[in-house]
Amino acid sequence: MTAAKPLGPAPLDFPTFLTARVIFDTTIPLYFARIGRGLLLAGLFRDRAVIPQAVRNELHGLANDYPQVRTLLEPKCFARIVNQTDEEWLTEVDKWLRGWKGVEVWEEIPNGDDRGEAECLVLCDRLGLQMVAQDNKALRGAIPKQIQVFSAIHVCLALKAKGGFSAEDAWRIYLELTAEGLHAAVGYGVKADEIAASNARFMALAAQVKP
Amino acid sequence: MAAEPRGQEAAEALRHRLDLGHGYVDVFRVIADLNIELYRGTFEGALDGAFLRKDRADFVFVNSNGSLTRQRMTAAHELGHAQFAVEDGEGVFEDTDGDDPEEKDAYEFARHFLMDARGVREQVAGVEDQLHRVAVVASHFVVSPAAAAIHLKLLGEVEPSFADTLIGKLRSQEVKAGDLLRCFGLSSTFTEPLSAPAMIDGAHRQRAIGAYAQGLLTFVGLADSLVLSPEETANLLVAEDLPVRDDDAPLGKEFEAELILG
Repeated sequence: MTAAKPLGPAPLDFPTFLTARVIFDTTIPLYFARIGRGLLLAGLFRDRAVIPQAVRNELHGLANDYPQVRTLLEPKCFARIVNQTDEEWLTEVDKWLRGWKGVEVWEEIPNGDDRGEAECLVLCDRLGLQMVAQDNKALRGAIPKQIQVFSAIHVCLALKAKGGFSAEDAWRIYLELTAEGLHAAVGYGVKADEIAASNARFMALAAQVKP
Repeated sequence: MAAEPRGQEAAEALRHRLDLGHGYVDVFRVIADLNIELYRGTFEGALDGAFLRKDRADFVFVNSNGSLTRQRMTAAHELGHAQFAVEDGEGVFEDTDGDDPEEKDAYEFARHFLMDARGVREQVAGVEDQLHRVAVVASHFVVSPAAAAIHLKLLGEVEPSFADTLIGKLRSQEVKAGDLLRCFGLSSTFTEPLSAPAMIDGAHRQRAIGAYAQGLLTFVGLADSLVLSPEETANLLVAEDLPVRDDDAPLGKEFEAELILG
């Protein structure tokens, strides 16, 4: 008997990413804000960005350590905040948290930082949204649900497509993000022995993306 | 005689009015059905929840920084406040164990709304063992075993001394909620960490391994779910022909998705 081929990540529909509603996990907005580029996201995803309440809470908390994060939240949040409250929702979110963190999340203790990713996955599943995230848990969790997960590299491609950036400037933003501490997107490593190939791949893609 | 209905009466009246029967209720859905605005969020400090009546509209706030059982109890408690007379513009903020009559009524309402007395008695009928009774009620009504023990004590369904001793052990974690349920073959999605590997049933084990295989469960999560040491977990994965993953390591090419540009 032949083993079934493992399910891979969902193909990413980039044209839709440029026009449809997308949901953000905390990480990528955080790093855009940390390099002083939070407003880029607000402009690029104007009126179509969504964040769950947990991501808003995480960003609000992070603003204590990184004041630049306030540019994402004030005077107007860069994304529409979705706050689901039904018990089915809570149960679905808790299932993800249990999967990632073990059963301790069922104790009467705070859920910690992973709630944002969990709420994003459940909302994507419910509302058919694409997701912007660069988190191992989110990427793994998206596969069985076939949720499209775009990374910082795709956001930078979108800067070329819609943000008026050249390919070189968009790549530079990606390097700034990783230099700030964002881990590299899958396939776009920035270590010394990877960066040239990553840059070449990005430029090849950017050449196909028309402004 | 009190001018306001007592908690139990109010809870039973609301269950009856909404035709909820005597079993488990989704308290969040009830709040929505009653057109009460529900807000969940993480609050600073020890605030569990709040209730506010403003311009003849009711608002319930629940601190989401806790387990589902706790959030359910808080939501039911705040729903209780909504059942009693609160002047427009007044609110109730729960950050302490209040002793005033309104708080007591709201707590009583919450217990009875989540664990209807008739429903509880139906569940424990024929169950002799007191510990088993607590586990049955906690599992069926999705409440913490401590809440179930308090309720059963007040309903006279377990001995007060037994309940008090159990509650003390649960609070000190000498007894784990998950163990308590599992040792009676029960489960709840809202239990504490397991501490007895022998109690883990085969279906749970297979579900956990399947979740790991799909990437839904991290290595640490799998070890925690099965109450295994890292070494035992690694051995299990080798036996199951599954890779031992480093949860924080960069993901490989298999996680790179095809990009459709046009």
